[in-house]
Amino acid sequence: MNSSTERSAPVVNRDELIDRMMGSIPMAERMLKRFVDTANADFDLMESTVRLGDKPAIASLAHRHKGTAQTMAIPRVAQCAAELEQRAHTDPTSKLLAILGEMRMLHDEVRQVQQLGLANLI
Amino acid sequence: MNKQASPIQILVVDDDPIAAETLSHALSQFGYSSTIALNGMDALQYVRSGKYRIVISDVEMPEMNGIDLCREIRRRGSCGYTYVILLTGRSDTASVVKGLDAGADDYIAKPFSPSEMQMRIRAGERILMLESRDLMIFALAKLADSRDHDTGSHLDRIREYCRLLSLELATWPEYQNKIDGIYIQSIYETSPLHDIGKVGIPDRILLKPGRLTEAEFSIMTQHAKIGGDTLQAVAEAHPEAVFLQMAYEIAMTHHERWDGAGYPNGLAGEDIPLCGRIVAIADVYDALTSHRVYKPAYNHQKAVDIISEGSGTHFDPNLVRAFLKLESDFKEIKKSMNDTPEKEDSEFMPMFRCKDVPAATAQTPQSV
Repeated sequence: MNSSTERSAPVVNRDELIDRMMGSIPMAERMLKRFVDTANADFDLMESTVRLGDKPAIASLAHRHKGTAQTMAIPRVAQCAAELEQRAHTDPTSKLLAILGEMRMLHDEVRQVQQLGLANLI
Repeated sequence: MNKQASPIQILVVDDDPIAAETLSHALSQFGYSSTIALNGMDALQYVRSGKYRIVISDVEMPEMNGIDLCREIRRRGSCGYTYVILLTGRSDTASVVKGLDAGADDYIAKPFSPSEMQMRIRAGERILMLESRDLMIFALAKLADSRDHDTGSHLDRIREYCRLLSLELATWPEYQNKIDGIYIQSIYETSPLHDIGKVGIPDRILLKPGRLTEAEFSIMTQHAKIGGDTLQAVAEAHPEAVFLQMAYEIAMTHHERWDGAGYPNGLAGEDIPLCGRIVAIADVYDALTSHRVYKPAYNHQKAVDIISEGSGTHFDPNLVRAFLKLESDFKEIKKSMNDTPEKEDSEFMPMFRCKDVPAATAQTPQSV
């Protein structure tokens, strides 16, 4: 899905995030924690809708998660969410679950960044 | 970054709390206070309060999406204009067109760039300022007019008549390079100022229930010059405010006559600015069809006949032709915007077959 360059890039674009938070690292960290705290519930909800086959709901949830990830400058998660949104109406459940699995792995990386603290992220 | 507090309150509408809070934080850094609504229905309630002049809304939301919210805002209207910016991840042409068609003023792709957002909001503020300017002009004109038209919709009708005449003239070849959209909007905004000079006329004359003496009438006619001089001074101090030039010309020349027998400067023909000639017809029609203490409101046809007779003497013949083409629309405006009879005053009478004014100015009807 992603190129090797993209994979090697930090999962959170620190500069972009801090810029969007108007230069406030505390604000960026607070919002990143909020993202981490709520993302698992979002993924669970998305997984349920995938398993239930509710395609419009999958697309809608994925679209929203894409927006949140873009706001938080987490491009790889946003890209996965965009793919899930696009494929919601066409791809089989197994493929959609695979995309969700990748999102969960990326989410783990985001959590590590959040726990490390943005100030320590180069 | 501009941290100067802005009086404008912004409503942020997004079902994603993280996106909403991030935007709200950026707005606070730019000096705006904001409120977050997490869905369209809540947003509509906030908008109804009249407190929010700018709405920044996500498009995809449950229950009521941003497009429908925008349509509702436009459908319901409010006391002031609400500037709507749609903020969404869908920035393809079809989505943009759909949003603008619903009444959105601007469209920004997610994720937003803070500096771009600030500039877009400033553009919105400029639009809202124009509306505020219009309201301020009208309020000032109303204030001046209230001394002798305290119950009337005189000014509301005047600007409608002026817009109507200007729209018609704009379709005539000889006026196409003179009258454009800006001209029409300007005359709509500034024509209510035509009598603002009446603030300088003493009450004993302005509110006199009977006929004016020649001396009183002479003082009364000063209102055109008083208003014109005042607006000219402001226009010269603020040359960037082009509409003030028109306001000045209207106040100064709306009592001039095509044959040169008007006041204050005795201008004739095309030496009288077009805007002054337009307001002259609008003002006289409204005076003729309105109640005065010394006369009932004339019926529409009588007013049409009088104006028609004044073609080439009192009024610009072209404008009389335009008026005659539009006379049924004038009648409709008068009918739809009529109100209780205006308070008694001396407007119109001295120029209308009044024995104690000079013959040159008493031959045809005119408001004062």
